[in-house]
Amino acid sequence: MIKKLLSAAAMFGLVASMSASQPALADFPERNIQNIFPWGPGSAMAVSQIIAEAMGEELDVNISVVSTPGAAGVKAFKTAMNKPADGYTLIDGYVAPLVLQPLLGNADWTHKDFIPLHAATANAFAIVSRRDETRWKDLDGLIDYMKKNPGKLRYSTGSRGNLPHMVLAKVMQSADVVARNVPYNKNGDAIKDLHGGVLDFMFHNPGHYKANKEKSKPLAVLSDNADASAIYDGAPLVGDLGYDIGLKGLSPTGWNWWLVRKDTPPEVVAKLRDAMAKTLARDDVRQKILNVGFVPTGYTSDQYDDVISKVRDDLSSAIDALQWEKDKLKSVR
Amino acid sequence: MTRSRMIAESLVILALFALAALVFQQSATSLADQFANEGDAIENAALYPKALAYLLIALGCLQMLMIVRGFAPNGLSDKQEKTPKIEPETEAETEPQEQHKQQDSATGQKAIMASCLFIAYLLVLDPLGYHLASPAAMFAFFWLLGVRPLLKALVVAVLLSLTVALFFEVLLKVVLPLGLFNLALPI
Amino acid sequence: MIFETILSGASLFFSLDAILLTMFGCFMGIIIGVLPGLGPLMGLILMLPVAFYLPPVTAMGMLIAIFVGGSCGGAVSAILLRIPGTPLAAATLLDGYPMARNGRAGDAIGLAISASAVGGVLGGLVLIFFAPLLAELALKFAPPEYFALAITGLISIAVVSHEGMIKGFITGTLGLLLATVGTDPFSNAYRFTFDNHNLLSGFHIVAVVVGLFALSEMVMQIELGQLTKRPNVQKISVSLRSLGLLLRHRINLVRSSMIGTFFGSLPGAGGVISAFTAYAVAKSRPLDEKEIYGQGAEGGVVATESANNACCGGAMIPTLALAVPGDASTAVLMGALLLLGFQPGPDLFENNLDVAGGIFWAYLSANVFLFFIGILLAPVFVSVLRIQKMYLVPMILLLSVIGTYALQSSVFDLWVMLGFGVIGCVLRKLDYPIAPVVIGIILGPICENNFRRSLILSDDGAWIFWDRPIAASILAINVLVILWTLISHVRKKDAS
Repeated sequence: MIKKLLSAAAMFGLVASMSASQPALADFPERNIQNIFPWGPGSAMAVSQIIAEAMGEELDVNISVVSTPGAAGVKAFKTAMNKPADGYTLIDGYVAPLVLQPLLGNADWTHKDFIPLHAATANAFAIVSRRDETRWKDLDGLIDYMKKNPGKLRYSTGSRGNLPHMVLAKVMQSADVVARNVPYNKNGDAIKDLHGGVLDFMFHNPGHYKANKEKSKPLAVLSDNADASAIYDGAPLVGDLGYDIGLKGLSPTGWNWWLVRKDTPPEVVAKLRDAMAKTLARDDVRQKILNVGFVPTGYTSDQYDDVISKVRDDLSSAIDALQWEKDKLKSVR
Repeated sequence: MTRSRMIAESLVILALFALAALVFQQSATSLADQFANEGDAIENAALYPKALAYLLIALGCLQMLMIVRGFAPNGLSDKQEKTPKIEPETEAETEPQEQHKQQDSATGQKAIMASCLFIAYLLVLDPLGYHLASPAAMFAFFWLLGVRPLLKALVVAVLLSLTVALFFEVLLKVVLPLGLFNLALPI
Repeated sequence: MIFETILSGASLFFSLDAILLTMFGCFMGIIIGVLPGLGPLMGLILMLPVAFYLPPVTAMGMLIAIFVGGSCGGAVSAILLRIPGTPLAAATLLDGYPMARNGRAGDAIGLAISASAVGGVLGGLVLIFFAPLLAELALKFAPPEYFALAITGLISIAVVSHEGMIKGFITGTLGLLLATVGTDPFSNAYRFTFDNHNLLSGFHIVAVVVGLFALSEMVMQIELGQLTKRPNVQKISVSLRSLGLLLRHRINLVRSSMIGTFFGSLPGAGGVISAFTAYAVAKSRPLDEKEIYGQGAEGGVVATESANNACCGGAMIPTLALAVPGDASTAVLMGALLLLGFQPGPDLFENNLDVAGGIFWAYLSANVFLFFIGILLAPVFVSVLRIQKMYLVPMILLLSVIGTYALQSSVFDLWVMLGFGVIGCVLRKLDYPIAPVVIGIILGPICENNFRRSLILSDDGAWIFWDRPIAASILAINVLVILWTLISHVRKKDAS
């Protein structure tokens, strides 16, 4: 009797494990999909929700965006990597967890550990100060002021040690000036303090700028792409002003690339890529993304390796700017 | 205060001291390794937790003092003092108390069993998935808490699990644990 | 200008679609708020995709109604089951649950709903008439002021610790300490994460609240026995009696609504702080000597519920006027507005006055619908009390598990919930108050981060707290309140 039960259980287990390990590929997707998103709710999440909603329509399932913030995206990635590689978990691959955190030693993956779908959005940052600022009128004026008042000014990039912090630190390093970075959990709070006079300058992404045009003046756009200047109403590119940040193309920008785990079956990947391509080609989707102030990129999966490798190389040489800033600040204080 | 209560209260204070000790241990090891146990208040990530640990120790000592000196368990309370326990005068009066004690221990046991069942449910939720684990767990709970006949318990368990799944999976589109068999409601 | 806004918005809002969807949003919000775990933020995130396809004011109406309904719904489970459906309702159970135990569940729910609706409307009126003024005031609140306010919030621990002040401060300190788990934003160091990536953002506040309150309550209920007995709870009928009850507490109502609106208008402050602070103030000024806080005082329910719903209106002030979200829920609302093609901030009032007006109408209407829908549903909610415990307890446990799981699709959150359930049981058995743990976990990061931020901003260290008049005044008031509380307690002890 017991033998019969044991063998029945073994058969059951075998069948179950077979069915678990071989999802019906031809029918993918059969149930709802999740996108693991590395930040809290806000405009970036809304953009991912736009793409997820439209992509879900293409696939005839629901794709929900699960906000999983923590340690600049590391938590989201680790969470997603613990899910099965069956295509039902998409990873919202922002540059911070994908490239930056491994470079900073906080994660042990590289971009090669993932299979790309398509790039979603990319946003160039800008250095901004208040429109009614009297101490300087442009980036040169700000740098001059910092030279005369080393370590006095206060700025924010939201979190510390993130990409905007690195890029701004590179700018200051190139001009040999330093200011105090004040971390905020939410960018909105930093923007409020900028307009309240507590902070002296900060970074904006296109979404921030769109919402705060009246009060925020972009001093320079942190990109070498002329299109980015148009987003900030013609503000000058930082390179054109004579400051070399050593980062080109996508490197100084915030971007995300939707990914799946490396062992995801190719047929599943193909379906997901196809759906995402169709989604990003839709005018209404692009318009909704632009409304929020984000910019859809056109990169496809075959450009992934080249693009990311270049970004990785650029950023690895930019990391030292963070330590430089720390040391310089100590020396002037 | 009864002796067992005093022991329980003291154990809690000791647990708080242990927590404070853990804070110091982590500050000296993990945070020190990350260079976050040095510098001024701005850079030093260990400063604030350590200050709280000291505060916890101080408050714990204060509370321990109150326990040992035999103050009312509520310390500086603005509530009225509880009515003192009246000792039973006759045997007849002790019987309901005995029954009461037995009932207390019966429900106490039930609470412990329910807690174990709950832990078991959490353990099997991910591997088995929501649609297998939840009806099974609900059935077990209903049985434990006295739902009879068992068929009724089974039916209600299945209906309850399905209703909750309908609300979360279908209406709110939350992906519930799928388990080995990838079970989900048809969408 | 204000009347222009209101008038132009009316035509956008008063359409059948917008009204029906606002009512639907309110109903969904209440249900989501009642269920342990989910909360208005999750409700907003989950329903946001629905809003993509709707006209702007209709979409915003539905979402705002979810926000408003969800902020109130948590009170129902707090009152009936001693389980706050959302962290916002953690203060409501202090007097709401005792009211229900005294056989006044219907009155408690009615009061909670009326106070929420009226508080929300008052917050909305402030939003409409004083948004620019409050937005300017919000700009003056920088890290030193936030730190000072966090201390004010922490003082409320003393007030809500009916079981004893030292025990209250112990659990409050425990909450503060538990809030340090996660990534330190200044050094980016991982604090007390024990190499577990699930702890990189700390404990999820909802998992903590569900564990502390719901799990511990279910264990206590099993221990109390009488699991098969059908409780003898009177049916209540739909009535407007609660409005009458509410009017007795009109001073408390208006005061608590203003406190809620004020805290809401400060980005990052939040509904939980406003509820506890309003409670603390109300407790210090009871209606009469018969009103004993902690034992079923109506004023306790009025204070917390009007404050936490007025906070919704308050949170929309920086969101709409400054394009700075007041809290996570308004961040989602702001995202929705952006998606729909509108810029929050001065641009909204200059170029899309009708949409701004429509949003005001949507917010006010959501609170009015909250009142009527809530009053209609109150008998249904109270009838939950008539379910035998042998059915009710497993039901609550299942809803707690799935509601918590739904937050981040994380089984780890369930273990956090269990852990806090154990802590909650132990604390309750030994008469430690658990509300201060919630206060500590929420205020801890606000306190620590703003203190350290202030030090970075300062040119002369801690003197920044003295140099800024608003921060200095708040801190001075805090010191006075602490001294007064200590002195009056010592006096009471001497007298007894």
